[in-house]
Amino acid sequence: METALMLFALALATLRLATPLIFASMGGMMSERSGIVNVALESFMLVGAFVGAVAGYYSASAWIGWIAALAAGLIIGALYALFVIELRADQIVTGMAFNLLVMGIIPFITKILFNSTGSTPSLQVEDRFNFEPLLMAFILVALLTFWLKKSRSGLWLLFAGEHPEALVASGVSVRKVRWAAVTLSGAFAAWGGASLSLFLASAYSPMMTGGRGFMALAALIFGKWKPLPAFLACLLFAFADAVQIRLQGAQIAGIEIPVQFVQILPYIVTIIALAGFIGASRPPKALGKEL
Amino acid sequence: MISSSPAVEFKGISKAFGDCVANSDITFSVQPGTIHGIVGENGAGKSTAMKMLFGLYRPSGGEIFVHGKPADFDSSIDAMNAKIGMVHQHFMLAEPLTALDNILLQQKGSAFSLLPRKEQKDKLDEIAKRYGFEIDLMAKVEDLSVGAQQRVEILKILSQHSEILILDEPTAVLTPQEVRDLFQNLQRLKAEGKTILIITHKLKEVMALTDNVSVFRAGRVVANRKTSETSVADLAELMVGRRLQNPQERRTAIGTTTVLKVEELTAQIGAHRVENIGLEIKSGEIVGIAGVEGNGQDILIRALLDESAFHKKDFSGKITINGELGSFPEDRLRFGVLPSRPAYENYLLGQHRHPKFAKGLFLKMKEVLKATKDAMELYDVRPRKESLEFDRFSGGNQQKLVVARALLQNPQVVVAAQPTRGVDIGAIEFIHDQIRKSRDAGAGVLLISSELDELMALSDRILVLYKGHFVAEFPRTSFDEISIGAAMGGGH
Repeated sequence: METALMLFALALATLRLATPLIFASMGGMMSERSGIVNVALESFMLVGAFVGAVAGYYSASAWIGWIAALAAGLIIGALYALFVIELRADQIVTGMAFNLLVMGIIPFITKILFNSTGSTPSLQVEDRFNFEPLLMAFILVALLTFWLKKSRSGLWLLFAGEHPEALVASGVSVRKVRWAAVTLSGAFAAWGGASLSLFLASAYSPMMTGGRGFMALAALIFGKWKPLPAFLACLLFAFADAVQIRLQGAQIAGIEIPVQFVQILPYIVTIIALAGFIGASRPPKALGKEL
Repeated sequence: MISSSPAVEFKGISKAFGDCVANSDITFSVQPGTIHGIVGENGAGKSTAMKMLFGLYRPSGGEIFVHGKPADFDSSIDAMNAKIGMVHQHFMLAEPLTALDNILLQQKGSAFSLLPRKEQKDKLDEIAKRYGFEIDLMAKVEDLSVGAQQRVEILKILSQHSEILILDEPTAVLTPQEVRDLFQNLQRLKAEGKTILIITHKLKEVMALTDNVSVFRAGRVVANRKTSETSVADLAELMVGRRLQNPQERRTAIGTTTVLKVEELTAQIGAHRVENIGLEIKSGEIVGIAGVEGNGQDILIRALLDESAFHKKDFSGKITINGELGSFPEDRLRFGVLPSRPAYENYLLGQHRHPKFAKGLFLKMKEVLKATKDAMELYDVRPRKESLEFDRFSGGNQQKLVVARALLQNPQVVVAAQPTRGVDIGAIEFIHDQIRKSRDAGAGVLLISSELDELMALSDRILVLYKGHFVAEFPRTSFDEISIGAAMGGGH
């Protein structure tokens, strides 16, 4: 009975922890499948987490926070699109610049708004989400899977990343497809961030993504840039995270394992997944290539 | 036919890119229901002209008429609406997707509509059947042969009800069998009333397939001919702008010393293998290896150049090489050079430890540059820029540089694989001359080629490789296309 309960708790924790990863990796999929490398996911998530927490706090409503995060995500996604698509900036350099910039701007704003160095005040526990983001993540994966497989614009997205010249030849603007994809990428990843600050926690705390943007990118690569396998990879990484939390304070032969060792577990799983399987995974052919 | 207007008519078309004039005063016309050859050397302006017809470029002057109406295309979409389709040399297909999806991409529809896969598959199958195409529409493009991929491209065009088809060097990537199939398909399309323009520089294909031909040279059309009233020799002269010499029979004698000896060689990599083959080349002798690609040629070359490429258990036999070996690989860009590096570095490759070019840990850059410059001079490599990146040279000039690198060291043994693949007629003649010169200087040459004409022009004898075995040998006196071709197909 006790093990059953423990397993149930572990499964529940896995699902909760997977939510931000799923959103972010679906965002990554939109961008990368369209041919745009996206290492800026981390910054998209941070923006979503922060804006969601701030708007949620002022309105005392997680839903308002959620909508605000969507708007912020669309904006930062469009900004990234502006740099890499219109201004043809190097995609990796721009992505890293976004990450650094956001890490600097958020503490600056929290100082002005709340006179704190990075954290926002908490929502009331009853105001934050209970399960809604998790449900939405599942629905998003299902929708994207269906859309990519069955719809005309899904095919456009695939061609934008695989053979942009062919897309041009069929009379569809690669630029527009990529703009739409990267902008949506911002929105999805921002929701990933908002599910951290409005669902897993009830406030924004400094660097609360903890590399989840990169982990989502790893899940995307591990999942061969496909929605369903990427979703499963997110569950795997989240499971490692859940186990890690469970193991904190555990003892082996009477000696407590230092918590730092336990905490590296999800990162180790990520590295093993990538190092062990990346060879079998093939990126979209035009990924990172300018038109 | 006389009363109807031509399907395509170019009237004084010119095109310049900045200062560079790619086309000037291009004039020719194509009657409906015919196959029209567009021939010329690389850079003669054939592709530019066809891209204008397909709406990818806008003419700087002159006018193009399609079925008598002025064609003022802003993009390839306009051209497609005017029922013109083009098969590009590099296919416009996404490899991980199915053939069907690649064709569906062309069809209009709102962004969020569902793809009508089932319905379209039936329709496309019907079109394919009508023209006798064999295509598995549900297969991923990457799993299809090059010939099948090309059929997907053609089907894509046919599904748009195009009446005019442009094919850019369609045979460059095909095996001889696939070329035959393609030509049959094109004849069938012609019988259905389609008009076909085919860009090529293979003159035999022009003679076999086309009704009329326009010859391009240096951006101009130098002749419009009926195919039945011209010949390969005429066309070659028009293309190159001078009469090509008939290759002379050799005046030197084959030597007596053996420079290359292969005994009981059995080797394999993957599915490619040679089995128990033997071969001897004397100094001053050219031995040709004929065979459809994939019958062991690559393994033979690899065995001669680098035994360590094989697992121990996959290699047995003895190879004796007397003297220096010079070689050029079958696929220069993959095996022979660093495409993005300058010409002089590529010229240096393989000789970088030679005392002429190296001193201790350092290279004598002056010597390297000078040697490259001399080689470019001798082999007429254009442009004469030692520091230009290799892949910025045209195919013919790239190959000249690769051949120069091998032959200018005066090797005693030469392994020449596909020495003129993707190379213009003028350059072919030149490279052949250099190989003959090398032979006359006493080198033994192993010539591997998929072009029977080339083998018959150069070799003293020809061995036919089939499924890893030498199945036939022909001395020069009994060269004959039909019997060698039969041996290549396994029947002898």
